[in-house]
Amino acid sequence: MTLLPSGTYRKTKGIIRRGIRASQPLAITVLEGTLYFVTDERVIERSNGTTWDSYSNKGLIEQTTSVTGTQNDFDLNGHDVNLICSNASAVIFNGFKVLGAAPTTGDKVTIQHNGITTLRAGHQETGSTAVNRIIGESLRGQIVGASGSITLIYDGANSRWRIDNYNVGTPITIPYVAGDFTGASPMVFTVDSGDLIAFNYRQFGTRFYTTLTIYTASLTVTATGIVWVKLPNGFTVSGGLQNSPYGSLFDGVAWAVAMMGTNPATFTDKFQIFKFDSALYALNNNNTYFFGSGQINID
Amino acid sequence: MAAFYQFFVAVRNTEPDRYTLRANILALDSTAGIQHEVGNQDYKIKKGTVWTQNQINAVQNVLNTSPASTPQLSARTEIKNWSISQKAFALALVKQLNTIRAALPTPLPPMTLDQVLAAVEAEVANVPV
Repeated sequence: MTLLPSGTYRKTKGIIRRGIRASQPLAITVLEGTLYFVTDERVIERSNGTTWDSYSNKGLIEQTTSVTGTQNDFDLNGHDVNLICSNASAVIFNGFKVLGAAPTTGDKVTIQHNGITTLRAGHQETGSTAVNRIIGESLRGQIVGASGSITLIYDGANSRWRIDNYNVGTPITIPYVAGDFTGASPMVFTVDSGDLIAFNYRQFGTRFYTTLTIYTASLTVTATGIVWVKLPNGFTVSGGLQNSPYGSLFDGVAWAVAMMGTNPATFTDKFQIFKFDSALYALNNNNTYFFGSGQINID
Repeated sequence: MAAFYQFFVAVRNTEPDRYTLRANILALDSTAGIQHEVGNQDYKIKKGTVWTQNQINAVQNVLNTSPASTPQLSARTEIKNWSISQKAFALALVKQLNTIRAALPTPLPPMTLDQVLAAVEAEVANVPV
């Protein structure tokens, strides 16, 4: 069947759209106020009210990619896309266009993380054209681990993609960096690479959950009551003081219930671990242990 | 701070008493720390100096022969690690007892806190479990 110009199919005020295709009922048989369902009619193009583009005979388009690194203005192949990412290393999407043009109201993309590292939807990242950018809950966007996903829906009123939903996937391992672990001065907290047994996190918007297990670390010089741990992914803490249960610790002398917290007046990019009763740590060599999981608010 | 790790597999079928094991390892090297998950026989021992074969043999022997964990040993560990507040409670009672002991027709010598804590620890063996 020959496809007539797009405008032919457009419903225009005062013009009844019927009888254009042979399979549709004849105009003479159409009764006013009656809805006719035509089984062999297909949607070839669809319009946002201004332009027409291909609809490929279905609503959901599956698109695959293996891109890594920072992606600005990533081009989607349709208005409703399941984007499967098999990225070998971390990927950050800072914005999406649709079929080479600016997105329009209601456009949707679900980004599936089929890689083994991380996938992030950036928040208002300026690398992308303004109308292609994403608004998230966190200033750092949303990051997901393996098997995670993020769904974005385009908000035409504000000309931005909005994070509609996400599955955070598996916990994201935080690699060892010696400088990430410090004691409240003048105490020195030393965590060697072989001491970091587990350190991972999951981000739920502006809520940060972490599991941290450390064996045989050291506390030296002069005892204080706090050790600091740097947040991953450039996260910063939100609001004022925060406390949450963390787990337990051993400082070479006794086991203690341990808390996790923040104090942005001291550090905005670190969380702290301290004893439940705020007692000082005992100094020791290679006999400091931390076991637990905690959560804090982030920007 | 330099860190040197050595892996061990304990030749035993029981879980060693954690406190005794730690004390025995620290007796060999005061910088030693133990990495171990309860339920398996793998140990990773960290210390601040390079391992010698003699040290490896000594630690292996400690891992193999340290006493197994029992409720009594765990209780003794707990007593050894009583908090300051618990010890203060015991000390207050000891002082009262010492006053009475001194006022007996045949006065008895005062007891120290350490003597009392040792006595409490010794009573662990007499508690039915």
